[in-house]
Amino acid sequence: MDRSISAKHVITQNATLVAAVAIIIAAGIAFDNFFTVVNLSNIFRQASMIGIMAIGSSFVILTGGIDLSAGSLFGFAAVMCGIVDAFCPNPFVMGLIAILTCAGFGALNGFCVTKLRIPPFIVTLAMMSGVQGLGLIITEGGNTLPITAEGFTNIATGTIGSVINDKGLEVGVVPVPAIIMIVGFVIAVIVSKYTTFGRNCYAVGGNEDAAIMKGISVNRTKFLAYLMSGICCGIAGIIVAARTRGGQITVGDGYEMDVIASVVLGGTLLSGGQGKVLNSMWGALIITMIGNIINLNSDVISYLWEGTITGILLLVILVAQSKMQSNKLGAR
Amino acid sequence: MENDVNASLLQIQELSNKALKRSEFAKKYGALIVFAILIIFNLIVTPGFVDSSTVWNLIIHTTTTLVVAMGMTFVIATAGIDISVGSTMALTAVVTATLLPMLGMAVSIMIGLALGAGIGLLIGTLTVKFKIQPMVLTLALMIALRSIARMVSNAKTVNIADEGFIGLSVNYIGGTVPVQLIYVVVIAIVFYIIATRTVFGKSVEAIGNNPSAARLSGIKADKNTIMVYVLLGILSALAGCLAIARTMNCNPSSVGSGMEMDAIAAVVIGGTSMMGGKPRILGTVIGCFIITLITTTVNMNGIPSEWSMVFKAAIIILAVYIQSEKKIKVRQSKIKPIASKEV
Amino acid sequence: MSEEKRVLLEMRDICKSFIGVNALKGVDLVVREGEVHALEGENGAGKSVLIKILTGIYQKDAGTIRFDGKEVNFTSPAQAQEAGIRPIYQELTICPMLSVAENMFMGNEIKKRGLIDWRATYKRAEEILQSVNLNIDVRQPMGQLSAAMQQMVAIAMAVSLDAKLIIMDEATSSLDDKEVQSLLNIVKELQKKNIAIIFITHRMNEIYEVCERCTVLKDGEFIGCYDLDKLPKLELISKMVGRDASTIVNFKKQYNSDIESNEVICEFKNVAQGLRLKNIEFELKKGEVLGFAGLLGSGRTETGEVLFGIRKYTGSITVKGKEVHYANAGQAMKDNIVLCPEERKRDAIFPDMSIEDNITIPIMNKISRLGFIDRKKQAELVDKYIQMLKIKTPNKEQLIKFLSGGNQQKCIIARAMCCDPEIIILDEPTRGIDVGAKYEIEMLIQDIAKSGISVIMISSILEELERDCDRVVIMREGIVVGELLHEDITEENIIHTISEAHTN
Repeated sequence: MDRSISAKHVITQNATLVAAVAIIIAAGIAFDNFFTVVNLSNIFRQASMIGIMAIGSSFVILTGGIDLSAGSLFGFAAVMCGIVDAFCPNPFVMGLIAILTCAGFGALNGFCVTKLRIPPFIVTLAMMSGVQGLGLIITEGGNTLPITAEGFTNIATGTIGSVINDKGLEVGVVPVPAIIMIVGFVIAVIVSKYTTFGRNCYAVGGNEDAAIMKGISVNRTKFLAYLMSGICCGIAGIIVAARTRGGQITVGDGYEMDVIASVVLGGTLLSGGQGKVLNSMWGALIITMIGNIINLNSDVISYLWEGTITGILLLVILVAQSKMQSNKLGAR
Repeated sequence: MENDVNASLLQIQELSNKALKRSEFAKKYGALIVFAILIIFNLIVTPGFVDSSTVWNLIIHTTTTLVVAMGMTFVIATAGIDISVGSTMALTAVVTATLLPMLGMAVSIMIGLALGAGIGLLIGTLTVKFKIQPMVLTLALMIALRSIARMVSNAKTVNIADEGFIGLSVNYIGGTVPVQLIYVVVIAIVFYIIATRTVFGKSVEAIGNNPSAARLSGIKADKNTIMVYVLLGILSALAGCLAIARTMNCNPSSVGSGMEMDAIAAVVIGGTSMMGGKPRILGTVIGCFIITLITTTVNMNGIPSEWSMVFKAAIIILAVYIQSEKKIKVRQSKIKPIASKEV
Repeated sequence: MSEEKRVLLEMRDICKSFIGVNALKGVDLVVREGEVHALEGENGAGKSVLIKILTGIYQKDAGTIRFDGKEVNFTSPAQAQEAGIRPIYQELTICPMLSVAENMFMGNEIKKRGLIDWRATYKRAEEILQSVNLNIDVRQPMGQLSAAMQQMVAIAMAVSLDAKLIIMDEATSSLDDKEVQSLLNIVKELQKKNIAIIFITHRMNEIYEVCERCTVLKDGEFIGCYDLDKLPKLELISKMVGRDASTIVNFKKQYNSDIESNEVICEFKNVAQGLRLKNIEFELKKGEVLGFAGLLGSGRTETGEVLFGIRKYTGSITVKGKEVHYANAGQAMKDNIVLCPEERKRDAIFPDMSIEDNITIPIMNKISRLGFIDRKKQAELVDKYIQMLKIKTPNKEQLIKFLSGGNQQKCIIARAMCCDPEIIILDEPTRGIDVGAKYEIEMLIQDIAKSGISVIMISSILEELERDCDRVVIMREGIVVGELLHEDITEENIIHTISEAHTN
């Protein structure tokens, strides 16, 4: 095999990682307040929620579907934490019930897509509005439910390892949510690469007819993907509840778009069947870093630039992807 | 023997044709039925529903969605989608609002519409030439355009003082009938004619219905697809103007927010397939009214307004399920078994 | 008879219909153990529907299937594969983005402790491929392999999976001669292992080289099952394309030798297209019906597509005296060339649009003012053609999908007619329509030619060509192998020309 081709292959396969590293290096050189332990660990803490949801969405998108309900489910999980906290302030029970609830919504998505044969876009669009409505009803118009459970906030604010900063204060290095995200991605990579379900997602999204003929249960694969997306939203929701010490439904407004953008930035095709789950993590980091850099340097760049930069970056990647696709087809 | 086979073949065909006609009926009248049920429900349950002000409010609150949904119907009919409409509304509206004191009403509206057309042109060209999926493409634009809209006014709300401009949305004809009634009627008629009586409308339908046959019939798919997005861009800009005229100010963060979802839902409830095909304009009009009517019903019955979101979700799923192409299955039991041949 | 092998598969009276079309009308298929069984018929004969029923993709409407001694009714491909039926389709079964090894083991992964063991997978994949002398990188994406290679990989995989019955659906159509030979060798090997094979191909030589018996279908009907030892090639071809017993059409064209001296309206010189067409040359005269005969895969459809500008080619095409290079259908239509495609449902019908719109769609620009369609003109045109072509419909607003196949086809011909064409290309104009309508359409073709329009008629039904054409060009595997004029156009002569070309 040709070496130069494989080297190029490695770069194109990991373009998102390369981009993320490039942004880190460039930002580190350009802004001296970027490359600090506190800031980097903040970035990871923020990215973890989008990242965790992107895990589930990656699988859904690999099967050729889409999940627009991620943001609402995320907010609803936080609300569930708040509700359970009121009568059983136990972090474990709160988390479990939040995850189960979101798993239920995910399963409902999956049911509508597979059994009722409604386009995923419509199903999850309706679910987005429906779940948000439920959340607003429960919280009587979007109030924040306070969370008092002991130890619950550690899920979001806890850290592992510490360093002494220049002011002589001890600061944590690796935030717990980042660990959850990384563990999540490790599991996701294993699932996507080493399990039948993972490979079936690629097969179903790559060529549904082929998958059917190979005897793969398309409906089961899709259902599991939506279920998984629901569970991931649940986990991310717990983190946001812990972070804000409260359950608020509107906390997830617009998050679904960040999640989808992360997956797309990671190079996963929205038509399904191609992409690497791990790259969604780099996508989530890039999106978070853009916001972070702008926040840190609000005297230089207006915070208003954030969406513009993200949007244009997305556009550039899409055009590049389409070029790559057409080159590939031309070669055949 | 031969006759048996033929008889059962005929039977099978009849059954499948019946199933086809049923699904055709559901697509044509599904939205209307749901709408009728909602109306009847309101007539029985909702206090004070039978009042002209209910109708006027319904129309006022439907107008912006309707304008966008008309364009969205054509986009979806080509099997495309555009989720950047809300952001397009915001950007064009904020530009129009900013220019209003300087250039006057006509010119600033024209500039807004031209900007909307330009955005549509960009989306259309990128989808056609680079074969980027419209869903992701417009996702990127949705994020970018909203952000640009906020930059235009530095994230501040722009107040609107131009009496003429405000009049676009708050005038009443004869003191009682809102001017929006005219918009709704005119727009519905114009777009119904475009969909059913023009070369453009028929070409769009053909492209969505069978792209391969459209190509072999010499229809210019690329040109028409771009046109569809341009049209939606212009309509989004128009909707933006109507929205800010009503609120008398323009907040770039909130104008058109969530519009993409309402418009798409209205189109789909109206029976236009997301796989492309017939643009069902009247269906979309009813779809828009269904969405507003749900909110009205909830509000007038004193139910917390959040319930309308839940009902909306349920009705979208229900309406699309009724119309979905079900696998036409001919039940074995309905067909006489054929006696097996002697071997 | 004593050494007759056990029956492995027995399909009886299989019926299947799709909306508006009866695809199978009581078809039988009996395959014995270790037998290579050819399944033959032209496009639309029902071969692939039958195979899809056998492999659980479609459900039969009626009939019985017995496999390996048990009555079965597969409701999913998985069940059929479980039972030992391994189909190899031409294109459908690959995910181009995934690696060769993944495609091979899709739905059947090698696992260790619950996880996929990639090392073992790659190793096993290499072994399997090497067993059929294929040396390729199993990690590369499937889409990067040539079609031939993909085919070989699929066959190697099926072989490795203890299949009892392997179905090869046009497995050789994209292979070159050497590859075909190695594939046929594999088939012979399989036969020795007592694996039964259903072999679908359009190449006669292959059938006679490896197959023992042959089942022939035509128009969804069962024609017969024959021992190939006792069935000469000539007879097999005539069974596939020959006289339709149910057709009682009885007319013969009145030849007009003046047409021979008419001006040449279109000329092909040295036209070639990839593997499909080689050095095609012919002339088309004004007002003549020029037939294209040949078996499936002979290049008859491709010739029409080249002229209509929807297939790239090399060589020169002259229309009305000037050389043309159409890049799309629109340009060809500007020169008054129209095509009624072979796959009516896929390429011609707008199922959810009215008859009226379906007929006038290509000329909407001509009958409109400022973009608004002139409804009166449209209605006049449509009424004219509904009457002229005797289209049976309650009204012109009816959606075309509710019409019968014959009436749909008439609408498509009406669509072509309203473009005021000078050349009409009709690809399989009578496919999938009933006897009465066939007759009407054939008469229509005569009327069209009489009005001075040149017709290119591509058909797999030889008796039709015999009845309708002034001249017939006979093709075989992308080459023109003969031309017949007037009285010489007979079914026998055409079959003779084709099979002679095969022997050479």
